[in-house]
Amino acid sequence: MAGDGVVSSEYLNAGEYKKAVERLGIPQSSLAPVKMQLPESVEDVQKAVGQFQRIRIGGSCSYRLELRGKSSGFYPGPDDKLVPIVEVKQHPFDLPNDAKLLLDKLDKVLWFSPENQLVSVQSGILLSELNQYLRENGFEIPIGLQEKNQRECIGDLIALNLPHWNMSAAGSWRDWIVKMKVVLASGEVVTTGADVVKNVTGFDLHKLLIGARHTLGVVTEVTLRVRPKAEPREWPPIQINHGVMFLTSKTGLAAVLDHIKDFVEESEDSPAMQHYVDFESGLILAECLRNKSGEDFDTKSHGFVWRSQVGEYALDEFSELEQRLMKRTKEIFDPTYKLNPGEFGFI
Amino acid sequence: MGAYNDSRMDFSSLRTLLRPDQVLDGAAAIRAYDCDAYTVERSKPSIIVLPESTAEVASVVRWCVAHQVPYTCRGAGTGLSGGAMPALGGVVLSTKRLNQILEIDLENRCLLAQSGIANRRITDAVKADGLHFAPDPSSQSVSTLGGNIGENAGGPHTLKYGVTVQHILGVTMVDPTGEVMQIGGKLGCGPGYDFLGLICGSEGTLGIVTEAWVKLTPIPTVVQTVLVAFPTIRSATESVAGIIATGTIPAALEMMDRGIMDAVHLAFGLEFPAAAQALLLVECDGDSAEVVDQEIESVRQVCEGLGCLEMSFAKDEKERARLWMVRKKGVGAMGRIAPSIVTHDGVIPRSKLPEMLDFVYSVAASKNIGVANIFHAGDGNLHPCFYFDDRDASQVERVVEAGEIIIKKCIELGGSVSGEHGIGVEKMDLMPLMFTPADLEAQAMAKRIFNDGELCNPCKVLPNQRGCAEHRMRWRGMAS
Repeated sequence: MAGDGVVSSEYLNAGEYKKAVERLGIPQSSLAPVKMQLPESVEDVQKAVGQFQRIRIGGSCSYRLELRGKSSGFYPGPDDKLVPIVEVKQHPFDLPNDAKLLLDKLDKVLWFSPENQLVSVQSGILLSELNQYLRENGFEIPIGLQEKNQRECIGDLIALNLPHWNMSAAGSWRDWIVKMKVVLASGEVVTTGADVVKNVTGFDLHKLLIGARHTLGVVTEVTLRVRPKAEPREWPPIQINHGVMFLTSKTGLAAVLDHIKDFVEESEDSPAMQHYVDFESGLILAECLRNKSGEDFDTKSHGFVWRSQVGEYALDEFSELEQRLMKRTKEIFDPTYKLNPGEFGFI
Repeated sequence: MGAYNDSRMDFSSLRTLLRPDQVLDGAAAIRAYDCDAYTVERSKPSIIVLPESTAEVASVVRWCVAHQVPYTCRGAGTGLSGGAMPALGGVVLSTKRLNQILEIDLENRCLLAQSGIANRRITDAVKADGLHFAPDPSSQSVSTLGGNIGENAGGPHTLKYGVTVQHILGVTMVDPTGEVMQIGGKLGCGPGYDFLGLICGSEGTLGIVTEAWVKLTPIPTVVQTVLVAFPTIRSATESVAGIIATGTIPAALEMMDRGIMDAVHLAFGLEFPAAAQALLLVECDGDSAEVVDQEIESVRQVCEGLGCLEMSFAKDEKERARLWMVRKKGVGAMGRIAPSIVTHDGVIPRSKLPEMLDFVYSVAASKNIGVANIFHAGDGNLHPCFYFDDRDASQVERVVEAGEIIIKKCIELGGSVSGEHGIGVEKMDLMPLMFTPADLEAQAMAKRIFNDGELCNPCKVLPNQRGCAEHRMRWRGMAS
């Protein structure tokens, strides 16, 4: 298992990772000292959740999000192959015995019902792969994430619930998910929702798990609505890496855009602060850079709701009430802070 | 806890929180507030209060907490599963006087209103500006915004426009301790756990919503409505599956059977083809005439391919209203057929509609009771209406049995026990058929985030709650 600077043999034996490591000549010592779990079934997830005291959860493609860009995982390289990230740094909250639960092998389409416009998948399937499968059958899930996010697994995308280009037309994941299977921190496997497009039976636990950054449970299976494939739409070629996103009111758009313009003029080395505006919904997505004075773009001065592209880490970003509710929720669902320690500041 | 019918309960200090005209406790009021539109089970409140502000709601809730008196919020009382029934008596908080629109922001297409406002009034306030509040439950002329949020209400147009949760940006809520909370707001919710999503559809068990920011949706400029008559139930249900399979998402796709046609004919004199056994009401809308025409054309091809008898297109608004009358007045017209009606609510995958409808008729036949069907076919949301004479105990028993058989079949076909009426007290016993004990415990955990006590709308949604079982016989007993 994990040793000093060596990833577990269990992990290396998983075909494509080993090949990628060998091809790139990455010294094993540069990989993170962690216990990797590659579950292939809900039971495997249940076992891992029961076995470890602290578990970091996600697909390998999105580890940079989990780790704020300091990934010990892989990123999607040319031809969609997974490439290990050479510079390995631990998550700031990782402890030596933490386990990492990779969703990558939970990558199956369980069933697809075009007549009901529903598809059921395991949570490790990449959105790009799922949409490729659906488009071959005339359907799609129209969440308009930028290209690199499309190559993340459904489980991570649900956990992050990022704003996206197509929000005004397609809403968020909440509008597409009808059912989930989840392994809770207690090890219990629970189902929430049903395989139907309309349902008001009981409390909607699955809504709570969307955007929860894997802190309340490990989502292993999801049933999603799909819609007929639309004409492919070109999204702006903006790569938002460490930036911020703004979801603002239309009233505030002009003021925010002026603010961005002023900020761009003071930015250090970038010719422009890339941004995209959807006037229909009042959405601005922007790659935020520091200006010459080393200041971050002020995200809170216009009364708009802001979303960071890489998610939020600390509870102090939330209001006092939100902090209190979120802590209460975490303590009910994961009282030992086992799942994704550090996220939202739960540590 | 101040239990039901506790004669020692003293409400004098509660009365000091409000004006005298905001408190009701006469026999007629107690009777009127002992149930909602689900009348099979009833439970008398001790007192009814009519707060006019969030602060008044909060003060009443804090009084209830201090005195350990159960309380239940109620909107217009149009709920169909007993969600507003004061299960353990105590205080009913009516939102009847929380009925103001507080702010309209046309530029950002949103509106802030108090929770007791009738759904239709929201649309009426912005219709002239080309906007509407999209959730349209059949009760929309009276049912309240707060009730719609509590039940996550649907309606005929939810097939395309979504249910209530998709149109709520934020709420002001008095939590079960009496604290006033803002969840979300004019711009929707930020990152973090989706508490607003949890509150919508929680049937008033997580607190009392007093105000809400709602999204306003542009009224489509092009609308085409067609009523299609079919010679058999199966050709109509197969058409529903066929339309969905083409990828067309009509704004509404509603089905009515011969029983409804007969009732509407008796009540309003409308004529239908003699050979018709089923009707589909299909509405397609949008802002492009070309797209809407294409959608209607694909509907026409599917229906003709499955042997429809007749297609009646609405040529103007008046004709559209006439076509919709069959759907909107259908349940009410059932009163012409029998003295009592019970409308069930279940959901199945849409592809199972033909099989399910066959099953509904066979169950009604085997139980020797009448059934008519009028429902949101496009969502797979069934509403079998059993008609009977409730003075005959044997008929009542058979109706109850038939309902349970049908809901169990919904689960067997991969569906759900409620599509839009909620669980309330009506369907608590059915929850374990759909969920495991672990699933239900996880839902109870979600409830505990806001409500860790037993005072706020007790004995609803989740089965086997402490202190509730012994009251169930009383609820039924009061209804008889």
